[in-house]
Amino acid sequence: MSHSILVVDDTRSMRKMVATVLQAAGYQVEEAADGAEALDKAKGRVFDLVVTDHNMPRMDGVTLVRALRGLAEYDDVALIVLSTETGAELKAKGREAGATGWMAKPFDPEKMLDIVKQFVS
Amino acid sequence: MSSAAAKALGDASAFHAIFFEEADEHLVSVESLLLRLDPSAPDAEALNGIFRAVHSIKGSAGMLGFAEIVSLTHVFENLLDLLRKGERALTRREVDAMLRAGDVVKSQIAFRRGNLPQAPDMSAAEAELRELATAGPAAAPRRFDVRLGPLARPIEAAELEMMLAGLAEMGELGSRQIDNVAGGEIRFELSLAGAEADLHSVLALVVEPALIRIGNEKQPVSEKKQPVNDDSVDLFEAPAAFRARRGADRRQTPRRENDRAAPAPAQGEAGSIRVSVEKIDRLVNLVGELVITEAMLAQQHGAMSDLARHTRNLQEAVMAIRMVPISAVFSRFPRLVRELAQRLGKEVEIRLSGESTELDRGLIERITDPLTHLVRNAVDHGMETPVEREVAGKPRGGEISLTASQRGGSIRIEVRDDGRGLDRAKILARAAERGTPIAADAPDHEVWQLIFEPGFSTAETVTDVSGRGVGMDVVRRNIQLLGGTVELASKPGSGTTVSVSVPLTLAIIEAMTVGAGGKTYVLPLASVIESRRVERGEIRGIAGQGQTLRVRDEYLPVQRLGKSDELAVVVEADGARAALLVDELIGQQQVVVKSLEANFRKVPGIAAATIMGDGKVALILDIGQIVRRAERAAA
Repeated sequence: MSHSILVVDDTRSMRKMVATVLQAAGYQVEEAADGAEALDKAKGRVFDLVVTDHNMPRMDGVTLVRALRGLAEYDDVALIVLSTETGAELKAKGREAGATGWMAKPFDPEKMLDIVKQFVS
Repeated sequence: MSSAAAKALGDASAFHAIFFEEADEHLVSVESLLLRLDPSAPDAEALNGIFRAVHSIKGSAGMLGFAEIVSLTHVFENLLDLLRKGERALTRREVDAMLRAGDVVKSQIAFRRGNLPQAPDMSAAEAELRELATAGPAAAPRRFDVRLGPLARPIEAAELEMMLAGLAEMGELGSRQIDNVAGGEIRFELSLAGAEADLHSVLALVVEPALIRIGNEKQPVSEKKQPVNDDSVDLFEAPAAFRARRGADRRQTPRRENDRAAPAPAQGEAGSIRVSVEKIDRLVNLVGELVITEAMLAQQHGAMSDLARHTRNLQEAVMAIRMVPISAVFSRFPRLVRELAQRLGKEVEIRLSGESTELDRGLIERITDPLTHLVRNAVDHGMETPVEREVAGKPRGGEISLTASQRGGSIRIEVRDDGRGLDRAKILARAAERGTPIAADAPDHEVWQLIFEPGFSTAETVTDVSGRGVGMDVVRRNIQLLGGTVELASKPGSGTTVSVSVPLTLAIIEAMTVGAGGKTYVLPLASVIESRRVERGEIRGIAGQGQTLRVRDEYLPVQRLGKSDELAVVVEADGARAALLVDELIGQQQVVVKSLEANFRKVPGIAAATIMGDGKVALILDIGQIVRRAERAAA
């Protein structure tokens, strides 16, 4: 069975790009437009990995990561933040919240797949 | 897998359409937020909203390789960041520069879409943003806490003096603690109205940049500089360790229930989806067919009230999909008014209400031009200059309000200004000049009608804004083409209100059906004035005017649709009337408009076609053309 990945980004084009890259590699992808929607979806089923933007309305990525880590079933799911913001302070906040890694936008599809593969297999 | 990634990447153009549409939406929201920004008290949430939109555009443009958009949005973002941190004061100039930046991005996108022949020059807008982002007007003074050190060696006394003197010129130096030895630190406070970047550049003249640490009230100097990680990926946990931990975790018992945080996400927003217009049009067409089929069935089987009701409800629901809020048109006016007023040296505020009133998407496009014209007129002709207003005992700033409301099957849009009002004497004089017959004591509303005459303009000077003589007549004709009406009310000294009424949709019209020469014709009800029996001998040839029918003291040109001369339908379009002679009046009903041009070809005098309950095609007459033809025949 293919692994399922939740892609969270309020920018539709960005979300579609991430989703398409992952789908092309055979992953099953679910999309959410902000942290709140993602959290809702994550409560309904357990994804094998989450890729989330940080700067989003309603609930930002780091807050989502923290909320997901509060759910027992997300204890050992890799949570990757994908953001144009790469300030050390923010990254540290992400790490503290429980993020598994931080990727910069614009991203290299190959690199993303490489990272994803390492965390879902 | 790498080939899969390359494939996904190589198909980046698949995302262009999404990106363009999304960027356009962002730019519209940026513009409306900018226009609502009050420079004296900028709303932090609005600035954040603008920042987020620009940020989104930059991110996706970066993925798609639109370098010039990335470059401009990057500077745009820098300026916004300074503004929201309060390091730059917001003035008109910033707002204008950001509006212009939004415009060039919009043009760039239009160019990328193939809607513009030439790529716009983005460099001027970008340079302007950059200039503002580096040397904008000063914000209120803030207190900086400056630390220089640890010093590799002492700074020369003269240099230090010069630096401190320079700083004292920039702002107000507060307490200082100077430990000017190797390994020491120089620390002082400075109240500065200028930017942190300027302060930095002054200090850098004397001290190595790496040793400069500047904090302000909001951000204290951090003791240790965090190393900046330039790598695009930063893993907080090694994959192998992660997998090992996960393996271990899985063997453990599940966590206790109370370990869970239970954040409640904000919910309850109205959901929406994007649907292409083509899909909706297809749906609208199919429902149209269903309405026709239902009418056929009803004819054959008599009462089928349930089917009729469901069909009608379904039709309404489907039509509702095509409806968009009029804010799509209204949103362009604040900027238009602002720029126009600036150009004309007037002070005008615009107020919008009823922006959520919905109308058919197709109408939105066709109502934009007439409304734009009315708004321009209001600013250009209606509104006085601040001085004129003061002399008249009015506040210097005028107000233009746009109001939309739904009335039954139509939408009413009012453009109201509190300007000088129409000048009755001037209009009458102009009418006399043009030889338009009107009594000197005619009631106001008749006098106002004159300005709808083609070529009638009282504007003393032809400005580049309006007043070229193509004015209200064009507005009225365009509105009438949509089956709507234009009314005008005005009071000297207190302003003018123009009310436009248009049907909510163009896909279905209220119509009168008539029979003539064995055929059924459809007349849009909006253009029907009355129908009456014609007595023998009433139709008379007037020398040089062809055949006419006298209706209420007016001789109307006659147009025969059939053979009989017994029934006349008086129709009006573009302010002119004609009498159509028909064989029978069939009734009044809603008809689904089908384009004749798309299915057959354009036919003079025919606006469109419809399918009647008996399955036959009936033609919908283009009353405007028919009236003009009747007039020509008469002339």
